[in-house]
Amino acid sequence: MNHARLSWYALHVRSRFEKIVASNLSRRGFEAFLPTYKIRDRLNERHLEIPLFPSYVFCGMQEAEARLMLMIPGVMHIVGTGAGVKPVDEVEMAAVKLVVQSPLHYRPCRFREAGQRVRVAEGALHNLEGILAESGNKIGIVVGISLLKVAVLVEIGDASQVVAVSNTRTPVSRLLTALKPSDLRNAPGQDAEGAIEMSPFPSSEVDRTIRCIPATIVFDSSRQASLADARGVPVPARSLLLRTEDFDIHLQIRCERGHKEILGQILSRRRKDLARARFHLLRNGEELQAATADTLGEFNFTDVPEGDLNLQVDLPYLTIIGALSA
Amino acid sequence: MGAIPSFSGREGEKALSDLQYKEGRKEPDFVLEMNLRQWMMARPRLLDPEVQPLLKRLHEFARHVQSAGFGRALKNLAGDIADCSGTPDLTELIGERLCQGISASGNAIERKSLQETLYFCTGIVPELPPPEFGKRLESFLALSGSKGLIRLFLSAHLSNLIFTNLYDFLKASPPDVLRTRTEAIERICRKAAVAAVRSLNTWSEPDPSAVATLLSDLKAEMTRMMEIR
Repeated sequence: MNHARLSWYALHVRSRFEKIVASNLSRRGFEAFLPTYKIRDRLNERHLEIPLFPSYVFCGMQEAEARLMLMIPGVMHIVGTGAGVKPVDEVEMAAVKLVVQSPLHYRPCRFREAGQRVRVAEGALHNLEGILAESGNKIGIVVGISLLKVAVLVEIGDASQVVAVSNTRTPVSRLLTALKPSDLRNAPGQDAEGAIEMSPFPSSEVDRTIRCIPATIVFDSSRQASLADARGVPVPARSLLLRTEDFDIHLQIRCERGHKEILGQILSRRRKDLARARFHLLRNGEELQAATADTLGEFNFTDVPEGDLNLQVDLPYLTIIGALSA
Repeated sequence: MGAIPSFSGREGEKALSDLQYKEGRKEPDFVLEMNLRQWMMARPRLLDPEVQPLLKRLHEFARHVQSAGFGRALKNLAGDIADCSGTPDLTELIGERLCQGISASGNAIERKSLQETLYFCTGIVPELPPPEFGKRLESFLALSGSKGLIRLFLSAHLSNLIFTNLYDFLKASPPDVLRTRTEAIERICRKAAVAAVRSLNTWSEPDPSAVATLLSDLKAEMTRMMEIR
């Protein structure tokens, strides 16, 4: 068998033939994947392992081999779209594999396209991306295969294990399109509580499970030169402090040989989940760069363009937004 | 023998519902229906002539299992079975031997249909040890006879032929539509096979004319289902 560039295709099989097809594929030298899950058979007091996506078996093959699959007992067809047979998205496939290989509890669920996208920051599902969902009194992530419109819900415990992924919070950033640094700047000496209050975001545009809070500029070395000296800000670096609730975001904007970079750190007295917070630099709602915080909450952006920018920080259940000019 | 069973209005309604491909949607799948009609019109005989000797062999094998037991019937058919460790090996071996020399143009679909038939009548279990497989096959034959085995084969084979011949049409269907279409094809084929083998009640020894009648009944059933509208 030629193993050059294999893709995963979904085989539509006769009812209850999933294991037979997977076994026959393996016997013929194809890579087969049949995701299963366990249910409790209350009648016989034992656990049964049944297909996660009934009537589907995945096979690693080349497109040219698709028709051969029809000769395997139990296979009815190969799934595709109007344009013909189509492989399953590799990222989605990898996500499903990660879920079924993990020791966590998972089960099939309704396919969802909309919702808060999150990424698991640690543990067995590290880097798994999916849609945040509630599973009983726990938090779950829905991972789906869009070609088949099928999905699996995996329980991950508490919310501190996930960080939001930017693309679904982009609407929040888009709300900031008109937000200028001056809107979020305090007068010298004014504390965060006295900062300009931002109007609340329309609830229809923001996921209700995510709280969005604006961060205000409480210190800007370019405007408070005397204080900048006291803070030890090297010239030509510019220092900014954005503050909101319990969070301080320290930014240092440096310019070397015409290239600007931002070094930053997020600090909080109470929150312990700052490591792997996701930072997004945006302009007019479009993402320019993204970075993930290290264990100290530090991050950096390089080749920062001049002009008005927005900073978005994604934490579990919380998005912090701020505006600055570079 | 060979008379086409008549449909009451109620059966007609049921056949029509077979073509409805969306649950809760009361419209038949006209596109599937049109493709099935075209496919049938292009085939003077629904199944290839090679299927006739295959049905005869299948009937003989079933009768042998019933009279002498699975072990002896298998040995008679395939010789030494020391290498067979479970259901996949057994179904492959039986399918291969029953199809041997029946088609010059290759018999991959026939073998696939035979294998599926054997899975169906042993409970669709992926791995059964040979004795358990044999016991289940014997039980099935005791209950349904060779007629039951032939019904399962005709149903599986007809649907496999449609899946293969309408491959280009089906592959253009979105996944949810593909699912309902394949299920509809399975149901139509199952019903056509059930109706076609009704005439087998007195069929103890298969002769060429009896098999030919069976196949023409099958086509008549399919045609009737397509025409009930």
